[in-house]
Amino acid sequence: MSAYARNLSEIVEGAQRIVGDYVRPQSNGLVWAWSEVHEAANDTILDLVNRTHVLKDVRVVSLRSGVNIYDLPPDCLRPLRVGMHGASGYVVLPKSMEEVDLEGVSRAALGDPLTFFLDFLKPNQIGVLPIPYRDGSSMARDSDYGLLRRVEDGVGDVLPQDSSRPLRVIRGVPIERSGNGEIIREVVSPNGNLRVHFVRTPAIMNLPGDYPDRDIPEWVHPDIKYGVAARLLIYRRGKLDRIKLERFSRKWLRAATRLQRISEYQGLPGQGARAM
Amino acid sequence: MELLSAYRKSLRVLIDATLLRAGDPSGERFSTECAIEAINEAALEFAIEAQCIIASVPVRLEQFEAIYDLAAINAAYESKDKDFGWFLRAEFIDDEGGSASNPPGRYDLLSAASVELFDRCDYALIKSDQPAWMHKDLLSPNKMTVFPTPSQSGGILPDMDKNLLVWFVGLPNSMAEVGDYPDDQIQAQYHAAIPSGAAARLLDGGGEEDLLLADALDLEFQSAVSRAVGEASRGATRYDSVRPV
Repeated sequence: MSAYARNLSEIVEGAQRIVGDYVRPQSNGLVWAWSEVHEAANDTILDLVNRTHVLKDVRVVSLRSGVNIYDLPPDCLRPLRVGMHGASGYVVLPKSMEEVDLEGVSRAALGDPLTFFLDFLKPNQIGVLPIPYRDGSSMARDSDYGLLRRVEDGVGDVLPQDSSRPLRVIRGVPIERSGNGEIIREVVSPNGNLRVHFVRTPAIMNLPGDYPDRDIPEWVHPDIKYGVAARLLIYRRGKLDRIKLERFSRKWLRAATRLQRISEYQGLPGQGARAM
Repeated sequence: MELLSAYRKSLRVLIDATLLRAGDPSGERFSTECAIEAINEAALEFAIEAQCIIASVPVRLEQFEAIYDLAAINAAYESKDKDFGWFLRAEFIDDEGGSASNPPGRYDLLSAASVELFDRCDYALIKSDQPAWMHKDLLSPNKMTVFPTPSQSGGILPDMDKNLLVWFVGLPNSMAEVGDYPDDQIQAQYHAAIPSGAAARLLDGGGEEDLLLADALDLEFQSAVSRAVGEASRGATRYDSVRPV
């Protein structure tokens, strides 16, 4: 942790100080209870992530034959990108139901999914079209980080492989050989499953020593107190409170905008031509 | 001739100036501890806005690992210079081999801008002993994906062969002792502005008049930040697109 990281206790006390409600460490204030400020701190970070989309993750959703509506991962705030997960994978493009209707294509058609839609569904659901005509791989051992695995059969023997072929199919699941002949990396099923990149919810802070989600840059931590204070002050009607609300909201918006711009920075395509 | 370094302000000087601007020259209202925290936070804000602190960290490429958590790698780096802020640029270093058409040396990883350019879901399956691209658009801010995925691990650090050197915006070293100075990469001509930002932070918890004063001090601080942004942009447009408004 850098010197700029702030844990829950420090964030709560920072907010208590600037709203003028600090009494002593890890205690209720005169206006707001510790638990209220604690809740506001978690809500502030969730709001930050929802606004800036800085926390991202990827998960594989197993497809089933004949089923085209699936639950999104429970920590999904918003899908970002969907694709078929496979050695011959491809991007599954978004499409609204209005487009589907205008195109007049059958919503009952079977095939490999080519588009996904979110409208007319619950917030935690995703739909794909055409409707999958076969199950995806039942082996859900994929890793975001491409971990190497030793694949064994039911009696513990290492599965055989043919070094002359980069891909082999074992029980319907292609694998790729690597290493000394014992390490095998699962690739993916050619039948495919749905690979969903999404904005994820931040880890919640429960204890005073907990820090904000580890993927939230530490240089943002000192400004979180402004967002917390603004959430608390929104219910107050006094003149001073309104002035503070305006000031802290402005500072928090500035911090959030800065984070968003920085997190969207991809490096410039032409940067290679420029000396450091 | 006076050296620029003569204008540096020590933490002691910054504390006094901060308390004076906050209307508390004797420190009866704000503790030294609170003042130091506010000064460090103001220096952090200055450094982030001006992007004046640049550092680098070697990243060992691991076989079949496409995603690298740069903040964690930097934190674990023994010779860490600065805490990680955000990614700027990456170079692949090839110290041996090569040919006339592909000489050994340093190759900048081009930004893919968007992974959609690869038109594949499982781009991580494509492997090479020399990654040529990077992208960040499907990852949290501290992480980076290289493409193609390394087919072999790089040398064990400090051997840089087949590894990456990543440049990033760093966070300023924080001050704790009264004899400390702001981070070396925050130029001395801006030290005098730090107390304005710090005092504004101290006054956040005050009354109506305090907040009026805080607004004025904030303005002065932001004015210095704007000047620093202008200075930093002279020959380094490379990261202008990420510069906060």
